[in-house]
Amino acid sequence: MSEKVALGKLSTGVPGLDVLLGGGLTEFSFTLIAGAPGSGKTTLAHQVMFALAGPERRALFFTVLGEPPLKMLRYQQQFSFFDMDKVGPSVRYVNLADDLRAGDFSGVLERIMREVEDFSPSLVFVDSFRSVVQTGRTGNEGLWDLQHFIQELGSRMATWQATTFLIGEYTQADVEANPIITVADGMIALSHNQDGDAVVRKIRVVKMRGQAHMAGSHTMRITGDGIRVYPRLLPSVKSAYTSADREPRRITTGVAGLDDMLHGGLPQGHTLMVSGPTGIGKTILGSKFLQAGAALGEHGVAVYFEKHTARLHNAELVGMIDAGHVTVLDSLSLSLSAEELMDDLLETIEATGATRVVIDSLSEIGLYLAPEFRHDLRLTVFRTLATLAARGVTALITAGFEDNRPDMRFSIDNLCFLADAVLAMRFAEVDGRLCKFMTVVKVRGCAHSNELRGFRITDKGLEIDDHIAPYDGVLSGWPTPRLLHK
Amino acid sequence: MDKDDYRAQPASAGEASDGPRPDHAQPLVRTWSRLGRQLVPLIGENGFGALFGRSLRLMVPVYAWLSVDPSRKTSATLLAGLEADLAAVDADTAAAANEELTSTFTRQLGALIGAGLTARLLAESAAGDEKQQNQQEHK
Repeated sequence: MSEKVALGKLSTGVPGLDVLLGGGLTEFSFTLIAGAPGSGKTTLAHQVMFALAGPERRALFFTVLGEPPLKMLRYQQQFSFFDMDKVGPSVRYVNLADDLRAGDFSGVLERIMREVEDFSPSLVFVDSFRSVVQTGRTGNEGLWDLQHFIQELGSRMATWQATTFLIGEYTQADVEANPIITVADGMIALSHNQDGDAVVRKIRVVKMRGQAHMAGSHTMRITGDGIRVYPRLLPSVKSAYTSADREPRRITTGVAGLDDMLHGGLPQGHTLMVSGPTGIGKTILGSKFLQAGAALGEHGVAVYFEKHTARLHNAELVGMIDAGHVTVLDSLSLSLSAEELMDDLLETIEATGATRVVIDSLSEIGLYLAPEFRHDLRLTVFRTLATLAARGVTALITAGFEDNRPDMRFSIDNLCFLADAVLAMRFAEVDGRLCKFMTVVKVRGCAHSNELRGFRITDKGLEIDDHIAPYDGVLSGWPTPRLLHK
Repeated sequence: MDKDDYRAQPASAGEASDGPRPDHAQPLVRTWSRLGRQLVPLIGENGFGALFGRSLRLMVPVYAWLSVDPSRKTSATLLAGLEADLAAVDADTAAAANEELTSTFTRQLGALIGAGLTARLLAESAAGDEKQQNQQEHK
């Protein structure tokens, strides 16, 4: 049996944060929550406090000279985690403003200790710690006072077996040269990074003694439920490399000729990328895919990034929405993060039990994304598709691009490599008409047709020829009738 | 503020009369004192003083005898001033004004932190009142 002390881990109650921390917060640790005003420090502290506090684990929250306590209570109770029943018996607020006016750290420390001895908390928060520091004396004497104060506070709280948080308005540069960071066991830095006109919130575990935490900045969001952290990790897919499904269940695409080309339909759980120029019928194929699911009692989710007016012309889609078979996600934000997109998608899939997803289209998604995600569209799409794969839903995603012939590209930004199956749709000039053709480029793990077939858009949807196109050079844009071999 | 010490500084507040006070004011203000003890650690002297002062000002058009003195900053001086005002009128009038002042203060606090949290804090204060009363009865 090991004689080493075991570090107890506390689950923070902040989705995603325990992953960054390496499993949770170390019990009795002394953690600095740092960040600029508005970065979410007080919200993070409250979320952790309300998640952990209870009759057996009381919390003391000291407010100092930062946000007035009345306002803090006013705004923090807007979050769903704020549990009114805990205020009083399990969570006590104490204002230190009057004690701090003298600028004497020892007086503040004694007041903190009096309250700690009176309430016996397991969690102690001091917000905002910077205001404690600023009231101190200047020069070396002030620095010594501060260091002494922090060391005293840290050791006393640890002796009291209280997990302690200092909340301070520090930037990264401030903190690195500050004695607090050397004393603190952990440091969580929050920031909101501006890129163009968009702002993306970030969180970083700068240090966490005694455990391997995830390095680097990770995106976070603040919603009515509080903070949610998105570790830069892909969701794990169970049995991804431990079993092979040699006979995957096929599902209908809603277009008979396409099911035929796919040798019986799209393998369930696959992502089919439909690529082609504007007007070729990608959106109609998406509607048919959803309609086929609806006919089987399946629910679908459609994420549209095209103009609203264009979609309203799709009567079949409107009918499915009215009937409750399809839920449309319709972002109006032009600073969307990949995390918001995935959150909305997953929450809707969860809420509706959807098995089919249509994303239309990847060529317009960039218009909605914040610059950070737009600049790395491939990563955004990769994360989105990985998330859908982990959920096991079957997805049809469209990708439009300009048809520059001769060109054998199948998508922008090499996105076609991210999909399980690719369907290429192309225009070609035949007998003075702009005709439509399609071919299945790939289906991972499954055999499929390699034929180029002509198709038309009719009132019934897509009607695909049941035979190979009688032309050569279709993909060049200028096909020629194929000569029959004798 | 120390326990029930709102009368500790009447001289500095310049409000308390030197003569004997009628008994009806003291119990009314004692309730405020307990509420102050509950709220001051939470919202600070300034927070409590600002809310109490604002409530007093809202009452003055109806009860012109209530004094509003900006020099009163602490809960002790504010409550000492209130006790002097309540003592100067008859018991019924004092009780009515005090009840309305309590109601106004509750509304002001509720507008800031919500009716739920306000009710919770006031209930804890009332429970403290009751506990103290029971202790006195058992003496």
